[in-house]
Amino acid sequence: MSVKRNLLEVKNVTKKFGSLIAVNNASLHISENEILGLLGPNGSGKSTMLHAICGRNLPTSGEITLFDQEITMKNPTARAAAGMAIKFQLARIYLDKTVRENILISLQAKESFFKQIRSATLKKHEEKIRELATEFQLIDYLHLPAKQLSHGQQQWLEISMAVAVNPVLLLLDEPTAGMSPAERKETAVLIKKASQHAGILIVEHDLDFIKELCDRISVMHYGEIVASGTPQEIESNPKVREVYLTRV
Amino acid sequence: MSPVLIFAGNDYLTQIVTRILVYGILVLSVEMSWGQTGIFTFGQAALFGVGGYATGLIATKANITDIFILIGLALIIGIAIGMLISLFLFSGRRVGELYVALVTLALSYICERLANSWTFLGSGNGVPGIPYPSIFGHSLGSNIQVFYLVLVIFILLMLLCFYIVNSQFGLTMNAVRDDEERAEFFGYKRPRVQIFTFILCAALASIAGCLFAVSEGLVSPSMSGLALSTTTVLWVVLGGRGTLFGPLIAMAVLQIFNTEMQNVLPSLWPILIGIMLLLTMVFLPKGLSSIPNIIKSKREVKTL
Amino acid sequence: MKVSLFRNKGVGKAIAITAALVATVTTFSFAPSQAATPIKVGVLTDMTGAFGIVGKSNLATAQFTINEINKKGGVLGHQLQLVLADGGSDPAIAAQAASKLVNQSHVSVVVGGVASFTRVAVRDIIATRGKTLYIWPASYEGNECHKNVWNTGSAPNQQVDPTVKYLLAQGKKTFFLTGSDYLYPRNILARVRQDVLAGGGSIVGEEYVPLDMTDPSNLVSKVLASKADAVFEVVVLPGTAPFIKGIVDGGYTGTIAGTLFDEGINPLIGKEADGLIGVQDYYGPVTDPFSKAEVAKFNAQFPKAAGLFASTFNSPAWYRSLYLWKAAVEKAGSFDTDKVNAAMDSIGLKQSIGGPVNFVPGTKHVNLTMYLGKSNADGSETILKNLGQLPPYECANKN
Repeated sequence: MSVKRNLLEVKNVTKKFGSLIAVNNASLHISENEILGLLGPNGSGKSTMLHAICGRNLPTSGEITLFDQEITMKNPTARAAAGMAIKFQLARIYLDKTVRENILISLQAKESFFKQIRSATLKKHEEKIRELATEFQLIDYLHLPAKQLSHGQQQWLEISMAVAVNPVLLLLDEPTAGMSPAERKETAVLIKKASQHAGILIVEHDLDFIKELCDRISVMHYGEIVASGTPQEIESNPKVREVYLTRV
Repeated sequence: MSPVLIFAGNDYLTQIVTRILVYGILVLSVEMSWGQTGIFTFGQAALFGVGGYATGLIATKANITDIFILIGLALIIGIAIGMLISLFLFSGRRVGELYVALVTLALSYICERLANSWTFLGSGNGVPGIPYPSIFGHSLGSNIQVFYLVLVIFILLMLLCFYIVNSQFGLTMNAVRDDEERAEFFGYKRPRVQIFTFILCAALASIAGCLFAVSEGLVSPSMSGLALSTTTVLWVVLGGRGTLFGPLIAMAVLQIFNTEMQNVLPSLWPILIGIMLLLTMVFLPKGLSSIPNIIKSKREVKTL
Repeated sequence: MKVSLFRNKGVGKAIAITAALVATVTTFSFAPSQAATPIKVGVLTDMTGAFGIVGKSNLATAQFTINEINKKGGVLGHQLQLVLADGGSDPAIAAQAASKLVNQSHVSVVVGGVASFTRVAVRDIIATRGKTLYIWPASYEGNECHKNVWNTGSAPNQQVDPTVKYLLAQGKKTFFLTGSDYLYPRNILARVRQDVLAGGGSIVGEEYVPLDMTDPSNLVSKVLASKADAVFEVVVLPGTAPFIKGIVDGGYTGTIAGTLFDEGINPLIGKEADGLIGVQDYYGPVTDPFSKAEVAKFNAQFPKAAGLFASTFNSPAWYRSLYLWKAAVEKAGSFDTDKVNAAMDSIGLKQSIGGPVNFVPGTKHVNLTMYLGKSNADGSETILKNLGQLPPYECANKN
C-alpha cells in the first residue's frame, strides 16, 4: 500500500451552512486504484462531503488535493480538467439526447470549439462510444433518447459517461440506487473494472453492497468521520455498530 | 419560377418578403442563443438596432454604400458590444436565466432611450434616407435587387447556423442549455461556450440590423427597443425553442398576418397574439412545431 | 363606402397575390386606363397605439373633406377614393403601411403622419423610392425640405415668434424652458431661446425630461425654484398634465406658454389649463363664417368625432392639405407627380378652415393665418388676437 501514491487527500474539511455544521473537520484519502466507501445514514454529512470534493459546494475550511495539486476552491471545470469525474445520486444525464450523444457529450467536453464546429473528432469518438456501450450493455440503445432507458440503464449510462474520459478519480454517489440485485452485481463488476485505471470514492448508506467492493471504508456520523478501516474492521467496530448498523 | 415573376413588380410584396428574411436572421440569433444554448436574451433587438444605426449613420454621413464595408463595420460594432455584455454576464459564476433576461432587457431599454434622445442618432426621428447599397461599385437600384442580396445572405447564414447546430458544437450548446452545471462537471468551459455563442448571435443580429437599414432605407428607435425584443422571443416561443425552422416559420406567418390583421382587427389583434402566446406556453411548451410529434406519440400510445 | 374601408383588406390581399400571379402569366404591358376611374388618396394616420385618438380625428376629417370634394364633382372629373393606412404609432408599421399605399394601392398622393418619426419613416418610401407626392399635415420641428414633400402645418417660427413676442410685451423678462427629450421640443425651444435673447429677455433654466416621464416632481421644484416670469413648455403627453398641475398647484404665479394647448389637449390637463398661452392655426371661437360653417357641418356629419376637430390634432391642416392638392392638380391639369409638384409650389386657397393659406414659393411651407390664444379652466380657448397670415421661415426662406 505504501508504494502507491496518494491520489486524493482531504484534510480537515469543515462545511458550515450558517450555524449548522454539516461536515466537521473530516479527513480522508484515496490511493491509486483504491476503492474507498464513504458510509453513513441520511443526514450524516456524506453528501456534503462529496459536494466539497467535487466542487459543487466549496468547503468553509480545510484542504483538498488531487495528485498534490490543491483544488480546494477550484470550479468543477478545473476539477474535471484535473481528472475528476462524477456520477450523481439521481442520474444527471441528458434525457432528450440519445445514448450516443450523451457519451459524446462527455468525450468531447475538453475539445476546442473550432474542432467541435468542424465535427473533427466524431469518427475518433465513435469507436470509444461503441466500446463503452458494449461494456455497459447499451449497444442496442445507442440511437434511443436517454429518457426511454430503464432506471438502471440510466445509471449505467451516467457511469459510462464518467469513465469515458479515463478519469483518475471517480466519484460515485449511490451508484446502485433503485437497481435490482442482478443489476447491482453487474454494477459491482463494472466498478471493479474501472478501478484498474482510477481511484474511486463510493458514497453509500448500504454496507452490504460496499463491503465486498471496497478496499477501505470510512463511516460518517453527525458530520464527523467516526471510523476508518478495512471492511472487516468496520463491520466489527463497536462504535460503528452502535451509531449506524443497529439502526438499519 | 423566379421571384421576379412571383412579385410581378409588386414592390410592396417584395418589401414584405425582404423584411421577413431580415427578421429571419434576427430570429435565428435568438434561436441560437436561447433555443440552442439557453441564454434567455432580450437583447437581440438592441444589437439589431446597433447594426442598423451603425449602417444608417455610416451610409448617410460618410456616403459609404458598399455592402461589404457596411456589413463589416456593423459586425465589428455588434461583436464588440456582444463581447462586452457576454463577458460581464458569463465570465464569473453561473447566473440565473432571469438575471440574463433582465440585463439584456435593460440593454434594449438603454439603446431605445439613447436612440430617442441623442441628437446624433436623430433623437427620436431615427436616421432616414439611407441609400440603396452597392456591390463592387455596382449600385443596387431597386427593391428586387436588394431582395436578392438579402436572400443570398439569409441563405448563407441559415446554412451556417444549420451546420453549427448539427455539429459537435451544437451538442455542446445543448449540453449547456439542458444542464449548465452538469456540463461543467464534464469539463466544459461553460463561460466560454456562452460567451462564444452570445458573440455569434450578436454578429447575426447586427448583420440583420445592417440589412434592415439598407432594405428599409430608415432606422428608428423602435428597432432596438423593448417591443421588438419581446416579439423576437415570442417568435421563438411560438415556433418552438430548439427547433431551427420552427421560429422562422412562426415569424413569417405572424409577419404576413400582422399587416392584415392590424387593419381588420386593429384593437383585438395584439390581444389575440397575447392569448396565443399564453396558450402556447401553457399547453405546448415546446411550441407549435411540436404538434406533429405530439400526434405521433399519441398514435404510438394507442397502438401499444 | 366608409365601412368598406376596413373590411375588404383581408380579401383584397389574397386577391392581390392571385392577381399578381395571374399578371405574370398574362402580360407585363398592361396599363390601366384612367378615364372615370376613381383616384386613390392615401390617408396615413395612427388608428392604433399612442396616437389612436388623433387618428380617429384625422380619418373623420379626411372623410369629411373627400366627401365634400366628391359632392362638388371630384378632381378633374374623377371621384376620390380614400385608402386608409394605419401607422400604428410606430415608424416600422408606418413604413410598411406607406409602402402598401404607394406600391400596392398605387395612390396618387399620400396625406398624413401624426408624429415626426412617422414622416421621417415614410418620406423616402413615398417620395423618393415611391415617386409619389407626400403632404405632411402637422405642426412640427421644421427643416423638412424634401422635393416631393409638402408641409401644411405650422413651422416653429409661426407658433413661437408671436408667443414670445406677446410674453415679452407683457413684461416677462426671465424664462424657463422645458420639454421632452427628443427632436421636436429641442428645435422648438431653440427657436424660443433665440427669440427671448433677441427680445432682451433671459433664460434662467432649460431642462429636458424623458419622453415617457410621468413623475415631474424634480422638474417642478426646479421650475418653482427658478422663479421665472414665464415657462415655455413642450413636455408631451403623458407628462404634460402632471407637470402643469405640479407647478400650478405648487404656487407658480408666472405665465405658462407652449405649442400644444388647445381644445383637443386642454381637457387632459384639467382646470389647471386656465391661463395657458399659445399660438395655433385654429381655435374653436374663430369668427370667420366659412370656418364656423365647415366645422359645424363636420360635427353634424361625424357626431362620434365631434369636438375632435382641433389644431393640435392637425384637423385644419388635413382639411387644407386635400384642397391645396386639389387646386394644384387642377392647375397642372394632371395627376402626374412632377406636374402636380411644380404646381404646388405657389398654390393657395382664398378660404380654408382657420383662414386663407398659400404656399410660399421655394419654402415647401405655407403662409398661415395664426391666432394667439389663452386657455380657460373648462378647456375652451379665448382668442386674444388674430395674427393674420404669417410667413414660414423654412427651406429657401430660412431665418
